[in-house]
Amino acid sequence: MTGPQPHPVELLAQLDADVLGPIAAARARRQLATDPRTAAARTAMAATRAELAAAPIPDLPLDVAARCAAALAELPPPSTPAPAAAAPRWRSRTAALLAAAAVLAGAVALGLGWLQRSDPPAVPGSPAQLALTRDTLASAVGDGLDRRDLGPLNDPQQLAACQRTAGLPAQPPLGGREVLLDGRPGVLLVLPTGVVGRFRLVVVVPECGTTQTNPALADVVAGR
Amino acid sequence: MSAPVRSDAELLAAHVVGDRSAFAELVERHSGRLWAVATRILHSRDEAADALQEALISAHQAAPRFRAEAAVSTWLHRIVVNACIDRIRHNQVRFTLPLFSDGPAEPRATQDQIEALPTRLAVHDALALLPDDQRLAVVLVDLEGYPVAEVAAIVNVAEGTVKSRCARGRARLAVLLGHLRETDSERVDT
Repeated sequence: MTGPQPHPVELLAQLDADVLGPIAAARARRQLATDPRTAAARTAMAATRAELAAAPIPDLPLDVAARCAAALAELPPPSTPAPAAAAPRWRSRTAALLAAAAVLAGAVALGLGWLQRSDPPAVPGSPAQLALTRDTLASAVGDGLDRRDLGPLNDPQQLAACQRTAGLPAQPPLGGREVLLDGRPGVLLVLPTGVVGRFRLVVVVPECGTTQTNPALADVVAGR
Repeated sequence: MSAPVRSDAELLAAHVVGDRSAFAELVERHSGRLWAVATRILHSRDEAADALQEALISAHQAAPRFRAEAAVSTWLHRIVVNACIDRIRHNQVRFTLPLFSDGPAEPRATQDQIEALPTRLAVHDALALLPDDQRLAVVLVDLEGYPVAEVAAIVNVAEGTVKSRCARGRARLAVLLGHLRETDSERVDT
């Protein structure tokens, strides 16, 4: 019991946390009163507590939001017991990857609940080109996320060239599809903004990436 | 013009009776803070993502059993915290000693690791170098504002144990955050 004296920062932390009993606390205070390291330790503890209290809140990554919402979208209503065999699906990373692929449900449901709107989702066999106007473009997030059929921009090289020409970030779109914007053929690209529930919707001409002319027909931000 | 904003409790109740947008709206409202809890406790982005997903699924399905003994947000946070604790316990293979012990040789950053660090770390990175039990206590009490008694109940230890873990974690963080430099003669032995 005669080991080296504890560092003042330990004693201060113990006193601060109300860990010590009365006798030990009195002994700690006596040591602190005479220990030359106490002043620095007191300053350090105060700075530590302040830094912890002011720690920034990390942002929820868009992909995490998407995969969570995708998993939730698969669930039955809470009153309906889930099939036993289905329960562990979301535990596996493979399932998580599949969920991420269903980024439509993810980003939209977690973002603004667009998933739950009454409009029927796009289904296989429906017209490839979605008719939009500039006024309704912002409401097409779900339709864009629902697909990744970019027509001519399915070619990765053309897509990359298009993104360069249009001044878009080089990251892959979250989704997209061929559209008719005010009657003019185009390709809708749904891009992340870094904010959960907010997406950038860009419509470019189908030949985007093959010419140097401005390929953007429309560029809006949708969501919150 | 705009629909009235529903309270958390109203959203949860609507979810229980089949409103398919209600739970998504509830999650949207709280997901940022829930992510913060998960990523601070687990440090690993993948682990935190898994824990958050598990917790949200659990909350989605457990909603009919919510009894309003606490705020919905508190209920959600607690589910996330429990999911994180489960992950820590399930990952014991990563550690050399059982978690949540208070023995003298708890796993933590070695002195060599400490001395190799830059002058100071960001809070998130410094927390990662604490033993799991200390990190959990510090995150919940100091960053999330949980009362000590509630943390003790969640972790199933005595309140004094939570206080002790907070004390040791804070003392270590004082060094890791660069507010107190360790030397061989002034080693903080937490």
